[in-house]
Amino acid sequence: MLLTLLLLTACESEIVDSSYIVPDDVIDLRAVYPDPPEGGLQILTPDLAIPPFSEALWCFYDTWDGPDMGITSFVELHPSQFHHHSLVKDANSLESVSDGEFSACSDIEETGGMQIAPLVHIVNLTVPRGDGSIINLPDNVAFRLESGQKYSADIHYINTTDQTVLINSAFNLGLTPTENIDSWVSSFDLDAGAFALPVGEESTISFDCELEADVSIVTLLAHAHQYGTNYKIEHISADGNSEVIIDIEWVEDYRWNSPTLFFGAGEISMREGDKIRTTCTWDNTSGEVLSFPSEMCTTSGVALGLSGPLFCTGEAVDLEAR
Amino acid sequence: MIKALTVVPLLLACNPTTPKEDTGDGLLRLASITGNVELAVPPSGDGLGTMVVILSNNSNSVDIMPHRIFVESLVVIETADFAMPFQLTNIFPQDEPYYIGAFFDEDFSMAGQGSYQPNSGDLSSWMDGELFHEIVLGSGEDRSLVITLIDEME
Repeated sequence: MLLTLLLLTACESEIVDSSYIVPDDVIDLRAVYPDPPEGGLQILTPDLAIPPFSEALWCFYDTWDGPDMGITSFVELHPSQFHHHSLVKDANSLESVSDGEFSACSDIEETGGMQIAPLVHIVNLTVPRGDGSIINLPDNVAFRLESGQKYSADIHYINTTDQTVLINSAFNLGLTPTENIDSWVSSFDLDAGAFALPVGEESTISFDCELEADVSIVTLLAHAHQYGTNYKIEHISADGNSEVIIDIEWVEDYRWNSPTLFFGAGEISMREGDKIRTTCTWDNTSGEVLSFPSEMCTTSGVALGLSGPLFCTGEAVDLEAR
Repeated sequence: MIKALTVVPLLLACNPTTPKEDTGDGLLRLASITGNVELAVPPSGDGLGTMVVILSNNSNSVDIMPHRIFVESLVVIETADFAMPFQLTNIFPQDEPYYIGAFFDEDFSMAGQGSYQPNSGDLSSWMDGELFHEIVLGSGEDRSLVITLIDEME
């Protein structure tokens, strides 16, 4: 474990052009991906070479220059091997990046890419179609893709082998004209922000994010890593009442498979001024101080009623170590 | 009427796979699975329930969300030759196996749970103590598959 961590910091990934001659000792996982649905959008990253024993968190930036549309399906296309995450994020706030730029996310987003919200998160409100789309919504409900939306395709791979890994990633978005949509959903990420978990101690961080609109939650997702021991999500109403939505004992496997709940419209309603409180507890047995991105405390989800993707670095209400 | 429980060679009804596409560019092509879910035994209730096919990158051993799922809700099973077609697409080829399983949730008890563990009255692709079974998919492969459900609770 320690050896791997040390090696992971030693190499830099490289963009590979189409004339690249693939050596025999390279694991080539590049693929030709199918077209998106008719009228849809495919976001295809350039090829990327990930050196042995290294980690690559790269971002590909572009702008949607079509008309306002609704996103009705979203298929991540990538190898499963070595893959950690693939997200398309709202990059409107990143003024320094230009279309077509493909670079290490940390060059631009100082904390490794957690300061902006994904355009979509998983939703299963209807029957999945078997194509791998992570959003399954009624026909008249969609995520919004506005004309001029700048986005970042964040891809994260960890190469644990002694060979270079070649990959490319894509996202196929199904789109529909806005006149077909009656209700809009938006994603949110509620993040603990910077923290440092002391060595050999149990630590708890609790933070709030206030809602700026009336919403109905349709997805809630809890994300932490392997040193987490408990994860709680509460709805704190403006009058101070608390309703626990998720309170689970955390297990290491959840790092790769975040516990996710889906709710029908109106099942969990929150009012403007209410807060979502997230409380994470860890037992830091790693032997070193833990901070982002080695550990995380991020509540993600999807809601009806938000005006667009929401990212919140929470207001800490409790920090305890013992 | 469908015969009572028999030992069913689950997932062995695969047709020969489509030959791998030789594109000459060295790039991989995504795979797919097309098939039917059939029954070896009749449902114990009124035949109304949810049919689910799951493809996962792991064994689902901790009741986690699957990689890819196909659900046909409100299936009504009325005849012995019932078959539900399904298709799973956009699957990245890999040497490591995927895990595939299916079940008929007779009482909708699994709705919204995300755990996909059958209980009494459900039919499932259970064999040799496993609900999920390994399947390896090559580049560009379109695998044909028949999944037969049994009542492992008997």
